[in-house]
Amino acid sequence: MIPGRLPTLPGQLIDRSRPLSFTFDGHRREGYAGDTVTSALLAAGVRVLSRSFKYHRPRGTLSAAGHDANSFVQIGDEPNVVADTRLVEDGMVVEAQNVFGSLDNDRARLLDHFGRFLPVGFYYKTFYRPKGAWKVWEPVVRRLAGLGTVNPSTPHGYYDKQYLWADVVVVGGGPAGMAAALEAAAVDRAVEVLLVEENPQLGGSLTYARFDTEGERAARERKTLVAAVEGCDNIRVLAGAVANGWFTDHFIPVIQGNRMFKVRAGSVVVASGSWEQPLVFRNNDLPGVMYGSAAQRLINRYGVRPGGRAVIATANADGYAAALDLIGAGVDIAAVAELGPNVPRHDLAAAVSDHGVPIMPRSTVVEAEPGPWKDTIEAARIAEITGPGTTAARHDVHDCDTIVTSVGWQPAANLVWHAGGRTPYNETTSMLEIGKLPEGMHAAGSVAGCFRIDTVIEEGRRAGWLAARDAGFNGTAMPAVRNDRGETGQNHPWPMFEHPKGRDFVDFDEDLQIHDLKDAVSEGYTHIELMKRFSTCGMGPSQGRHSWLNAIRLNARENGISVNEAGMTTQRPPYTAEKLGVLAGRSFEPERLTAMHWRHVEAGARMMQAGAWYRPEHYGGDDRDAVIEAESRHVREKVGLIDVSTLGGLEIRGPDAADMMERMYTWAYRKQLVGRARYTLMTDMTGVITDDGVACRLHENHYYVTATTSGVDGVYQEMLFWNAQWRLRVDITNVTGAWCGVNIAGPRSRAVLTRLTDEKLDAESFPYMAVRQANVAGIPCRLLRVGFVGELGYELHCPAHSGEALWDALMEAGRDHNIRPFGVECQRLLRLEKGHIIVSQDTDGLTNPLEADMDWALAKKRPFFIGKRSIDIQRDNVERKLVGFEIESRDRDGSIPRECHLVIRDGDITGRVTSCSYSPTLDKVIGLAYVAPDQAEPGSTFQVRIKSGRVDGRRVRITPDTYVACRVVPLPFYDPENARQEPGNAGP
Amino acid sequence: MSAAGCSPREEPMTRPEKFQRRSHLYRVCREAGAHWRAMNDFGVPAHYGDVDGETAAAAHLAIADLTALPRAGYKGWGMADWIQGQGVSLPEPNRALRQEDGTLACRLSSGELLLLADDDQASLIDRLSETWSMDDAVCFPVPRADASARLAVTGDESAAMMAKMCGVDLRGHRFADHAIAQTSVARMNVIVLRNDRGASPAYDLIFDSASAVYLWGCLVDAMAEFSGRIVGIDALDALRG
Repeated sequence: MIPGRLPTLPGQLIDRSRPLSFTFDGHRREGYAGDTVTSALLAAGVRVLSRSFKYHRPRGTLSAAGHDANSFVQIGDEPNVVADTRLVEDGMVVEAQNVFGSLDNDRARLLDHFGRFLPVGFYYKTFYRPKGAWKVWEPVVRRLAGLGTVNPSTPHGYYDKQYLWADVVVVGGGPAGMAAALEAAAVDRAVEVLLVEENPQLGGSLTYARFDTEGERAARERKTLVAAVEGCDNIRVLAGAVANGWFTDHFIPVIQGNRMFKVRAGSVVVASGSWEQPLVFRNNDLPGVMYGSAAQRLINRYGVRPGGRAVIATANADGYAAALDLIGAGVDIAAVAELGPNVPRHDLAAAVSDHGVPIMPRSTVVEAEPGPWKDTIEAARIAEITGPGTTAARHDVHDCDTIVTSVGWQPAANLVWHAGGRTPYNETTSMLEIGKLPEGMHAAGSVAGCFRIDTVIEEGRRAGWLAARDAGFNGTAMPAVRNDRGETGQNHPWPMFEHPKGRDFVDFDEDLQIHDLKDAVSEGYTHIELMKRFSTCGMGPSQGRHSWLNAIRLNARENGISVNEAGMTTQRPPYTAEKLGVLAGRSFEPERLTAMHWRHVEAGARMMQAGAWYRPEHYGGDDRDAVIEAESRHVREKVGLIDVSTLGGLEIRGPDAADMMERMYTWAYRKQLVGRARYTLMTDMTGVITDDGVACRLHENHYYVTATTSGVDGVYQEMLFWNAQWRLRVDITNVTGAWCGVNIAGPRSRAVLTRLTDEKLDAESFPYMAVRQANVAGIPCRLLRVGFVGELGYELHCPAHSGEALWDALMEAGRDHNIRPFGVECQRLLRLEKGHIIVSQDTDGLTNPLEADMDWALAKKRPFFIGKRSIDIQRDNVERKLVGFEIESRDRDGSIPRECHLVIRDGDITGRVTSCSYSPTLDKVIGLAYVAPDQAEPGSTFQVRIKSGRVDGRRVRITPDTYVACRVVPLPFYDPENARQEPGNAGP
Repeated sequence: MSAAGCSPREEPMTRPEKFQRRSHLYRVCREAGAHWRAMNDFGVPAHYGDVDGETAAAAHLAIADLTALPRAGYKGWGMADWIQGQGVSLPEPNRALRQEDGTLACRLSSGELLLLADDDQASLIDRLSETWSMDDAVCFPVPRADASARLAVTGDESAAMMAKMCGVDLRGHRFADHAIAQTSVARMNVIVLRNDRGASPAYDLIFDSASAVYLWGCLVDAMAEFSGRIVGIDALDALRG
């Protein structure tokens, strides 16, 4: 009899009134709403779900709970979908992954015959010789050992994050978890309880396990507990959600669908259950070998008969419970191999025996005999156990198509481990048991080693009460707990029976057999951490859930030490695989737009990012260089307008404002007149240039200081930092967003501005580097007469919400003068012609003012400014100088040095280019570069090495090194007399 | 007021570009169908053609641009003494206190105060502005009117929606009316003020005006799953009653 669908049974999760169809590996399959992919396929008689990672062996469901990689499938663009837990959807297209051909006819299955040539760690020592071999083999290995296919063109999904807060978070919605949530909620109605359950429904083991011979207890308990939870106002349930880690202060990421909840909890109850562990024997990976809990899940949740005739190998009562469920589902039980020395005396074993099933004590399955295509089971070989891991030579062969094992559990204690909790191995129970828990964390249920249902519920209640108390609530007495945790024989101490022919898998994810782990230790990788990394045991998708307990036991035995001496490797978040999309969530990338942003867009600007800001690079045209050149000519000859709102702005106010300025900046400001502007240069404690700008003195106690777009936040923080120590009577306010700025520049700028203000703008009334506060177009502005671009010009700073109106007024007033906006690139060219540096382009993280030829900006008589002492120390040891240079060549494409091209002398690097461009005004290529001090004299020449490439087909070919001769010239390149600052001198 | 009607103070032909002062959001509000009202030298979105519906939405979940409403700030070592000398009652830090003229005095720290008006009547803000002088200043104006934008997030679902962008627990029973959090919202520095409108929970967000379009987009996206709406200032006035 093949697996198939059972008649309706109580507690099933499928809705038979809603049939669905889907395809698997090209074949149409049927299922019901509520089915997982695995359950629907098994109901359709399909047992092979995947091919193994290394040997391409056929694999079926092992846990029916996604605790292994056996059920990994590809659904659309999503690889590594866990078929055990993914619900079927109508029309879903499910594909097998990691196959060559089809799942049933995987050509790579031949690898299984070459296993002897692929020992543990083979890829560490096989492909590295001769030199370069790995590059040849790597793609082959990767192709053969893949896990699904990533589609790099997958459309961006909508993922989200959300904060949640709870006094008590209960992880696990099984009997212990529900009891904990109910008790915590009962302590005080104000307690906010969050109950997180991995499955779509509450119940945990109550949805599939059997706790009595009649098989009624689980459903009854579940009904009672779920009804109580649903009726409790202060419990919020997140079902189908995974608590994927624990972080300091009970910060727990919970993933539900495409959303990550970032949960802040007052205390935590871990009731996350446990993972059933495999019995290791030859061919224990064949489809049809499964845990007892897997068989019960299939039967009781989805109404699926796991097989036709089964052999059961068990070391605890759970195996007998599974046997009863199998019998109830119409499965013949050929035999029960009891790994313990005697037939147990509990009711479940007796009930199995009453069904006429032979129970064979001190026995185990030692081999599953495969069918002709190696993807089915034909029989199970059972042998008497003679010692830990050893059996008698005589085997009893029992025909069967299914082997069900139940030999032990490992606590799903990931959150405990993440929180620093330990789970030492108990040699008596052969289990990992939770030791001392971190503050505010409690555990209950099978994760805490309790399997008796009455006690599980009681311990859950107590854990919930303790958690509520830890969260600051008192209101009820602590619930009592009986001192009866049931039998201690859940785990068999050595459920591994090595076969001379191998294929006795410890780790299904990585195709690791017993001898692989033994070989790893014998090769010297004795420590558990080394064995793990060399063998990759526990490093597959299931992260050791089904393999690590046996791996530790093996390591301990091979090393002759105890399991606790072998120890565990470190377990870190996440608990389960999480999508990068979930981690990314919605993309929060703050952007800043100036008030005139949309005017630039309307004018055809190509926008560029400057930090969080968007700035117009240039306005229109595909020929970038030509547009920038035209913009620059326009400013030089007529009038242009640029948005400089992104410049930083700081208000320094108070009686000690001048003192503050003189401490923070390198120049002198105490004697600066009100109504005047002065250049500012900031250095750090090591004398390195960090920012520059202009200080406008608006009042005896008030400086308005500009800073660079990217530097202002750092400047502001520095000022706050220092004044926290100096305690000057000064207030520092970052007003960058409060003010918009425009620079109207060019010989006709005064004429345009005159139309909009009553302020006198003539040279005498408003000289160069003067500052005024006046209305422009009725808008209150700060007017700065500065000349960054080297032409008569005015910076107008106005309240941000009036910025667009000011822009509109200037463009309208300048219409007759043919005003046009210009972009950042044009400004960079114009300032280069004027020889003005840009901090962080023409300086770097080591540049001091002496190197940048800015000695003139240092107040030498002042005893202190930040960086002064460092600069003074370096005064006699300047190793490079920033100079202006020009070259004669006009070949823009081939021979213009670019930023960071190196200055080379006799094979040594003596400097680098920081700025370079063709100047249409000067009809030369000009630039700034650091050179050795002895190369800095005007008239000196130096060589710049140019690397250039050209695109040849799909390759970029780098041409041989080319050197360009550059000549040092005095700065500025343009208008050294500053004559352009007055209209009378203007006009080319 | 009918759904198709205009509020008594609305000027149907008002366009935000007519005014010298313009919220960074006027374009997105215009695209959403805003009807404008003149206020404080701004054109402000009064409603979007369905005041009754917007009022109902504001009780559920809605956002509104309040950038045009008057506000001011003062900070400095002598702020508390000076501001109390002007007759302002100061709350504890991170709390707001309603003043006699209706202005909310929001204390951001021992030495910093933010003043918010809930309508265009801002007598306290105007009076302080006229009184303050640099000559003997012990505290200094912070240009909040232009440095900051102001949005309102209103309605029963507002805390749940804000939880998608903000790590502070803003739920009603944990974050009382007139409580203040200076925190990160959508990775931006934002002052969050609980400022209920009538019986409806509401939060005012005060933040960098240059990022108004960005944060507005984040809010519109975040409130989609709650069926939130963009509403005008009339709906908020109706909620306040």
